[in-house]
Amino acid sequence: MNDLSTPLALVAAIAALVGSFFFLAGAIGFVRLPDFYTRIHAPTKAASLGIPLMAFASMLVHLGAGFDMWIEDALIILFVFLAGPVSTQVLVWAAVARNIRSSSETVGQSVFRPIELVDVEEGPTDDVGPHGTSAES
Amino acid sequence: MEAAVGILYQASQLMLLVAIVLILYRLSLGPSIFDRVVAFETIGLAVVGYLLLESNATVGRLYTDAALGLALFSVAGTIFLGYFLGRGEFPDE
Repeated sequence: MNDLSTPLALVAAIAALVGSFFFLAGAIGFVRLPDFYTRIHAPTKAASLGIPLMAFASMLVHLGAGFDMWIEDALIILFVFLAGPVSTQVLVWAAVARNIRSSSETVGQSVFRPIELVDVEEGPTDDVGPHGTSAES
Repeated sequence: MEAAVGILYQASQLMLLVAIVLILYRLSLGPSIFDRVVAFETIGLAVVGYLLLESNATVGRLYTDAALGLALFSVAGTIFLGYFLGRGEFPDE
């Protein structure tokens, strides 16, 4: 069994609290930010920092209790670090290929050049780029 | 100290539940399908964190397997959904 009275458990609880705070901040940013390209920024980065902190807390608890389960926590950290940014990148590429508009407050243009604009009907083709001025995404 | 650690874990779980409610609001509101996909992934990862905290606070090793499997399916499913939504055509090539 796991006792909560050691200093290691206190350190683990503080790490878990910091991780869930990052998660909450990411969720607030996910609700409040204006368009998709800024909105995907908040929860994915918060998840890539929050989940490893919580898994690190679980690893501390498991190491303190003498379980062998700490390697699964290490696998969670490794997997979220490797595959979380990959999923974000794939989603942003897909959004650029589907011509999801960015906010009208965005300065400059995207670094991507979409090779095919699928669901757009002959918008204004000025020199602003494919993510030019649009009221709503 | 045990009561303090229990209160810390309960506060962490409460913050994760508030985060899940906010992401559900975005999931119901989201203007594009990509917002809903991101909300799907983030809810999966929030449930992973909740399982880890629950496993820490109570039993110790009950939910860690489930957390690992859920993290794997959540992120891999998001990669497949993004590949499907982009129709295999990515602008980097």
